[in-house]
Amino acid sequence: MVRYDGLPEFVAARGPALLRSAFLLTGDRHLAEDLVQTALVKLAPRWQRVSSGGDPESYVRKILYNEHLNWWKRRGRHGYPTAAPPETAGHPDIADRAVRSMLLGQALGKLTAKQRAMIVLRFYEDRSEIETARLLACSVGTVKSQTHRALARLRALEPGLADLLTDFEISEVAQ
Amino acid sequence: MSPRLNDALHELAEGAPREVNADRVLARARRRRRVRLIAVPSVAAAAAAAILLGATLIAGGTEPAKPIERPAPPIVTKPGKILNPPGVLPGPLPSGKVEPIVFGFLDHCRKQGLQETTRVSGDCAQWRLVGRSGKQWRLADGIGSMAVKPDDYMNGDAGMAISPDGLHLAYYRATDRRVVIRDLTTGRITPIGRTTAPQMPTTSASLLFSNDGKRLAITSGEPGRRRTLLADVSTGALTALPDGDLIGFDQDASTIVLGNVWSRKEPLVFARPDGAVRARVSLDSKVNLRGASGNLLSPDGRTLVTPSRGLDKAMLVDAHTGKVTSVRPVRGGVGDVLAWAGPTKYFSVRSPSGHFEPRGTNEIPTREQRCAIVDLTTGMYAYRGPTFKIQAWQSTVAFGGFFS
Repeated sequence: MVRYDGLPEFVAARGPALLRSAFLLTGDRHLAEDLVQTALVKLAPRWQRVSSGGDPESYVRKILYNEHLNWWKRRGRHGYPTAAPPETAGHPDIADRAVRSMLLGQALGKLTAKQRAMIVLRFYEDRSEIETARLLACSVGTVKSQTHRALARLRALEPGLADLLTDFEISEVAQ
Repeated sequence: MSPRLNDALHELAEGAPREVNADRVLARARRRRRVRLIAVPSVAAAAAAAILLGATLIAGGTEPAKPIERPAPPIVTKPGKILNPPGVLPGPLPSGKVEPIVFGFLDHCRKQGLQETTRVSGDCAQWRLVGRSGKQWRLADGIGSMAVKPDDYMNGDAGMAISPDGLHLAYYRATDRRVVIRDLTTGRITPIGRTTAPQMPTTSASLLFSNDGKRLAITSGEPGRRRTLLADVSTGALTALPDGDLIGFDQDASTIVLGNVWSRKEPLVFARPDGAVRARVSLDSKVNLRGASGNLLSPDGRTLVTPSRGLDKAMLVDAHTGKVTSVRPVRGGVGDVLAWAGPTKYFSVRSPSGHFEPRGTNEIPTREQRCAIVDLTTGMYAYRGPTFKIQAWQSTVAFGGFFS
């Protein structure tokens, strides 16, 4: 047990937060659980070394995001796409939280894995572009361009979400 | 950084599972470690064995071992295609974790006429379930077509309900005819009620989940003398409510409205989840509850949605006074109120290409249905999710998984 000392406590404390990020990445409760479990299982052999470094969460989040991108590459889209898109005419009142969440979830599900990761890191976890680039092992320019494309695609996919996306001033940066 | 997008993402993330099973993580980590420790010698041994086996087969002509039988992959129906083509039956619902369910149906084995449909049995008579990805299964441990005779004068299908998030099913278990709840995130089955009072109805009842999916209403009995029980989905504990049809409950079923849909004179009863009566409210004489179906009480508990006599208008009733506050036309009719998407929007069902194909021919009718969000402020609706298409002379359907 010494090998994993402190790991159960870490899982109990940070598991729910990891699940929330994973849920936004995958759009599916089951896949979110699988993703978090996989990341934690990969963390386990290195637990003593990583925990002694003082920031195991950053480490496991890096695994989580990379694993998410790898799943996408290996097995294709993991979300459960709606067979037919919602009607484009007459968007429901965006003020309703349940409907807004539903529309946002559907629109996120149509982004690429990397674009979704950008949205989650930048606008859910509130990470800087530099932090996002470090976690996803890419350049800051890539973060900017992918974020720009992700937001543009969200606007195009679901105009009903426009008021959520009006505050951004992101200039597109060529990669 | 947009605070509104951040808020919306946080709201969306609330739908995530609540906790990670640390024991499972440790078990998987240990298994992975063991596998790695023995992987190299094992792979070498397996390779040697494979070479030896190959050589034996070539030399001796021994028959290869039969492949291990695996369960057939679930049927996946493409959007717009018939869910129940003749001669094709899906496999049973796996006992463990399953994706959210969004639709269920009984096609009574595609039989025609009451005599035939009341006698069907076997796998084709079971409820069929469609997951969010279009995968399909049979509810193999449940009762399906026409197997239960209710208290009233008609035979009835055994009810089945899908929770609004698609993660729980309520149905009659075949082995003991009890209503059970299956948690699709774990496969756990919780029987409803105990052997002590209040007793479960032994005959077919209608089942309806509350909007938050944490409670289940079970209504049974003859018209005009209905009885409703309220079950806690997580524990199975059952509470008897005052007599009456279930008219609706608010978001978390902290207020339950009951009434007699066959009598305009009887007041509505507002009850608490423990069965205590909170208030009795007389209804406006113009209000008609007979054509109403589903959960008519808005999630904030303030408004009842009732259909007009022609079913084409929504009569909004103040739940505290029983008076009609407004009458609004609804495109496509009020329909069933399956669950609520917001204070003034509800999930209902529409038939994109009409209800049934005309009868009088030997062609089996096709039924197309699709979930829609009805907006009471505009009277319009917007489709959501795929169209479900089944062929049957008689069918029963259940929708759910609206928030999945």
